[in-house]
Amino acid sequence: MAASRFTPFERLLLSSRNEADTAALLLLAWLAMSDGQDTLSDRKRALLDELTGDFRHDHGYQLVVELASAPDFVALQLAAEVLQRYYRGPRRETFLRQAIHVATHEGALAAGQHHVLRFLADLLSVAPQTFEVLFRDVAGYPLAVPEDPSAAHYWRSHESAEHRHYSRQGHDGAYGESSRERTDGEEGNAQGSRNRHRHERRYRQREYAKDEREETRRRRWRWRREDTGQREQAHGGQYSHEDKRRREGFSHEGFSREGAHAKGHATGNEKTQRALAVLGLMENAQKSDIKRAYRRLAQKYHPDRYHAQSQEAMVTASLRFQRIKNAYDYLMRQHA
Amino acid sequence: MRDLYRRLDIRVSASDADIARAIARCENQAVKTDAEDVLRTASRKREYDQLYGTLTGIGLLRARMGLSHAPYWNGNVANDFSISADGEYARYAELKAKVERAVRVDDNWQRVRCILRWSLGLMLAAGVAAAVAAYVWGIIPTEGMSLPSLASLPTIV
Repeated sequence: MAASRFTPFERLLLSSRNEADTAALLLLAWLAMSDGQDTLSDRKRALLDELTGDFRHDHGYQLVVELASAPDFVALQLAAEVLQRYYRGPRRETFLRQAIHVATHEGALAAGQHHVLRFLADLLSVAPQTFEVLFRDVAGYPLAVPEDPSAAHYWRSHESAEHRHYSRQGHDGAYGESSRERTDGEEGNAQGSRNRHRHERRYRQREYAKDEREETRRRRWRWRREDTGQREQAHGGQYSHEDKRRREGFSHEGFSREGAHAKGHATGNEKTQRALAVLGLMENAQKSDIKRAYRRLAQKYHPDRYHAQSQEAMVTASLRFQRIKNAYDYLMRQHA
Repeated sequence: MRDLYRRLDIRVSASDADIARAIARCENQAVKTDAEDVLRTASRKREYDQLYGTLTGIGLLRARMGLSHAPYWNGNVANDFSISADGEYARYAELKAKVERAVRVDDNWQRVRCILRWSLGLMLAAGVAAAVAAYVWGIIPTEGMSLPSLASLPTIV
């Protein structure tokens, strides 16, 4: 029976030690490659290597890259189904974090990646609000609406931006790649677009930092208006939801990566705020408040409590705990 | 993003001349100017086509996985790239079914092989027995009941 033959991806899935990891790898590779460039760049490959280091699939990923580069939607559907089947609860969040990291690693999101990311969020039934918080946390700027290349104004704005960029590059030789770009047309184009993306991203981060400062100011103002007695209440009602989301979304790799991501705009103040948010505290928390909050959360989220549950629950719990501990350590350093 | 091909009522593989003709006869002014701008420039068309491919695929996946009404599938994209489900879903179940079938086939094959092996063995034994019988009863040994040595058997038979 011709229909019953196994496709290459099915074989891979069957021979894999962990179906879910194989499926996740394929979807991440697809996401990485829907950036409008034809090949998987070495940096992307390295990133995939790094992110999937703890995947337990036991196979190379030549085939996966092949399937993702000229997307085989039958294979992708199978992978999506496997993912939907295995990824529940907090594991989904971890996966989406990896996905966002892959997509935003090389500058601004390409339009295709926007749509793939949104598909993944829908696939794992992560609500847009949660996903936006996750995105902001990992990427350092908010999730924007995907651009629309079917409209003429998209091209006008894009090509003029590119033009400006090129002409500036011609003037100052600050970019080391610029001479190579001029000699090698095709390569230069790819480089140029990458630079453009990076440039765009920096711009967005600046914009975002501006918004953030504004937001901080507004909050502080609101804060002063409320008197001390209402604070707890207001905290419970107005902020706790957002704080909780932020807490969930706080980078578990601590502040070092956080800093690397948001280089240049993450002021100490902002970091302090985020750390406080992780502990569920407001801005003017005292050292004693911090300690109390930390003890409470540490008890609540200590990985040992999840020991009896699945291994995955344990892993997520320890990541969450790490996040809390990082925030606490940071705040203690600040207060010291 | 809109599906300009669908709105111009042409196929993705249409030639440049066909696209030009379709644009010329398009009556919606907005679509007309945008299509003129996007599809008539090779580099823009290439980028547009790439995204078009991705979106078509996502539309297909969403239709097959029942995600056509999920929160992130909205606006122009959802309007233009949604397709109706074609019943090609549950790939995982399909894979399981395939594996089951393969296992069944393999089981049957093992059984058949077992039977074959036994019957082959039996046939061989029967052959040997028949040969011996023929030797014993057909060709009467000259001196007593002593059987000749095995080495001389083929020459006699």
